[in-house]
Amino acid sequence: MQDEKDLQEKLRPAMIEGDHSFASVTDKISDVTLKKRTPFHWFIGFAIAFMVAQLLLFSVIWLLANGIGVWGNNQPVGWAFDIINFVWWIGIGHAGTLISAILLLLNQKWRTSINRFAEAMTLFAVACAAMFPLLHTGRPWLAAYWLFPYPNTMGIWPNFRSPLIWDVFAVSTYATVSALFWYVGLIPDLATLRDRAKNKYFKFIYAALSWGWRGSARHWHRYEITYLILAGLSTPLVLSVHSIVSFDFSVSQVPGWHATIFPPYFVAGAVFAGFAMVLILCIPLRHMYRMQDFITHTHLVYMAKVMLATGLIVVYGYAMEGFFGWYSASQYEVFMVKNRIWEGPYWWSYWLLIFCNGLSIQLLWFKRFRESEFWLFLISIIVSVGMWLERFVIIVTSLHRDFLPSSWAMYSPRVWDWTMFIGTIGFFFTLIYLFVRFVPIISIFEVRTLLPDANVHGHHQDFEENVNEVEYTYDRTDPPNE
Amino acid sequence: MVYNRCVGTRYCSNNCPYKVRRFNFLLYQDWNTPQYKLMRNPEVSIRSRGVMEKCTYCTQRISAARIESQKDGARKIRDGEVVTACQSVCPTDAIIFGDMGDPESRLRRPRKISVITIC
Repeated sequence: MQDEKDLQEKLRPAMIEGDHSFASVTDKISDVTLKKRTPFHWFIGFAIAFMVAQLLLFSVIWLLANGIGVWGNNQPVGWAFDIINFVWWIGIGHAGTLISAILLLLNQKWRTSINRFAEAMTLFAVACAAMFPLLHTGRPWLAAYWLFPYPNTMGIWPNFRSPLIWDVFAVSTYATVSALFWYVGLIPDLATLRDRAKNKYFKFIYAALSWGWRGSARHWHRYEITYLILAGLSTPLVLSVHSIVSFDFSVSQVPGWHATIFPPYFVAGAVFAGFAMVLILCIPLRHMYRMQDFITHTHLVYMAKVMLATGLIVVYGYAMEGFFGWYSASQYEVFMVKNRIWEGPYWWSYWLLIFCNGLSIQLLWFKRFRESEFWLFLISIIVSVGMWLERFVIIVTSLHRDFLPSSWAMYSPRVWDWTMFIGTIGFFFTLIYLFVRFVPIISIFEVRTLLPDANVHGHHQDFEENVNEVEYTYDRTDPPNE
Repeated sequence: MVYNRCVGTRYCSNNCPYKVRRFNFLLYQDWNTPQYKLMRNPEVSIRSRGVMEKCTYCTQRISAARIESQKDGARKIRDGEVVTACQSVCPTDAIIFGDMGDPESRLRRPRKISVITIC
C-alpha cells in the first residue's frame, strides 16, 4: 500500500495541497479581495511602486518637451535603452500566454494555479513594452497614428516592407488577444465576487464586469468554446510576436543583427525571461497571501525546469551567433564577434550576460536548488538582469561599431534613460498591486477542478489493479486513491 | 528623405552603412526670433525636432534646373547647370556634381588629382 502511495506521488505530484473543498478554495481566494483587511505590506508596496511610477510620468513629460536628445542615444547608436526595454518587457510578457494557451491545449493542469496572474503580468508587461516603440520615435504625436495604415486623403501609407510596421501589428494583436483571454477567463470568478461582495459599489462593478454570468450549463458550454478558440488564437501569437520583434534586427543589415537564428532564439529567450518574472512574482505572493496550498512546490519546480530548458536554447543561440560570425567569412561579421566578446569596450557586458543566462541556470540541474525558493528567486532575478543585458549586447554593441571606423562612437545612458526604465518597473508593479487587491489572483473555478470532488468519473478501484493503465486512461487530476 | 513624413524611428540610420544620416535629437532651430526668418533659405524646408535628415544634393537647385530645361522644350539638363551649395563655395573645386550616365559630363573626364565625386 505504501509503495503504491509513493508511486502515485511520483506519477501525479500534488497540484493542490492541504485539505480543501470547493467552498474552502473559493473562500480562500476570494477573501483576499473581499473580506480580509488590506494588509499593511500592500500599502507599503503599492506606495513605493506608485511613487516610482511617477518617475515614468515625469520622464515622459520631459522627453516630450525636449526630444530624444535627453537620452544618451547618438550617432551611430540610434537605438539603445528605448528598444532594449521594449524587447525586455515584451519578452517578459510571453510567459502568460504560453502558460494560458499552450499549456491549456497540452492539457497541463498545473497551469491552473498560476495562469491568472501570469496573464495579468503579460498584460502589464505588454503595456510597459508598448510605450517604448511609440515614445522612442522623434515625433510620437504623429507616430501614434501614422504607424497604422489608415485611409487618408493624401494616400500615404506606412512602408509594408519594413519590419517596424509588422511589429505594430504583432504587438497590437498580441495585446488585444491577451487582454481578451484574460478577461474571458475572469468572468466566472468576477461573478463569484459579485455574489459574495457585501459592499454595494463593489457588487455593482463586479456585476457589470461579469456580464450577467449565472453559471448555467449553457453559459459554461459557451465559455469553454470561447476559451478554447482564444487559446487557439493565442498559441501562434506566442511564437509570432517575438519572431516579428526579432525581425526588427534580423531583417536589417547591421553585423550582429543580421542573423537567421534570431526568431527561435528570441522566442526561447522570451519564455525564459517570462518564467523568471512569473517566479519573481509568485514566490513572494504565495507567502504574502498564504497561497502555498495552490501554488505548491511542484509548480515552482516545473517552472524551474521550463526555465532551464529555454535557457539552454538561449545559450545555444549565443554559441550559434559566434559560429555564424566565423562561418559567414565576412570581415564585418568576424569583427563583430571579436568586438563583442573580447576586443571591444563592451566585452564586460557579454561576459556578464554569459554569467547571468548561461552559468547561473546550471544550478537548476540540481534538485537542491530547484526546490529551494531562495535559490529560485535569486536565479530568476539574475536571469531577468541577464535577459536585459542580452538586448544591450545585441543592440548597443552591434551599433556602436559597424562598417566604417569613421562613424564609430561610444554609448552611455543618461539619467533620463534610467528614470524611464525604472519608471516602467514602478508602473508595472503599481498595476500588479492593483490587480492583487481587486481581482482574484488565482483562478477560483479552475483550481476547484483540481479537487478530488471535481472528478466524477470515478473508477477508483481500478487504480490498485493497474497503475500504469490508469495513468494513461485518466487525466492527471484523477484523485489519489485510498 | 521626405521630412514631413518622417516620424523618426532612426531605423534607416541604424542600417546606413556609411552613417550619412543625421537625426534631429533636439530642436536645433530657433523658430521664435522673427529676425532669423529672414536669414533662412526660403527654398529649403527647415527640419523640425525628431526628424532624420541627410544631404539632398540640393534638391531645390535640381528642381530649378529641371524647370528651366522643361521650359526650353524638354531638353536635357546641361552639364554644370546644377551646382550644389557645397560645390559653389568649395575653393579647391574638389566637389563636382553631374550626371554619371552622360559620357560628355565633366565627371567622366580624366582628372589630374583624385577627387571624391558625389552623384
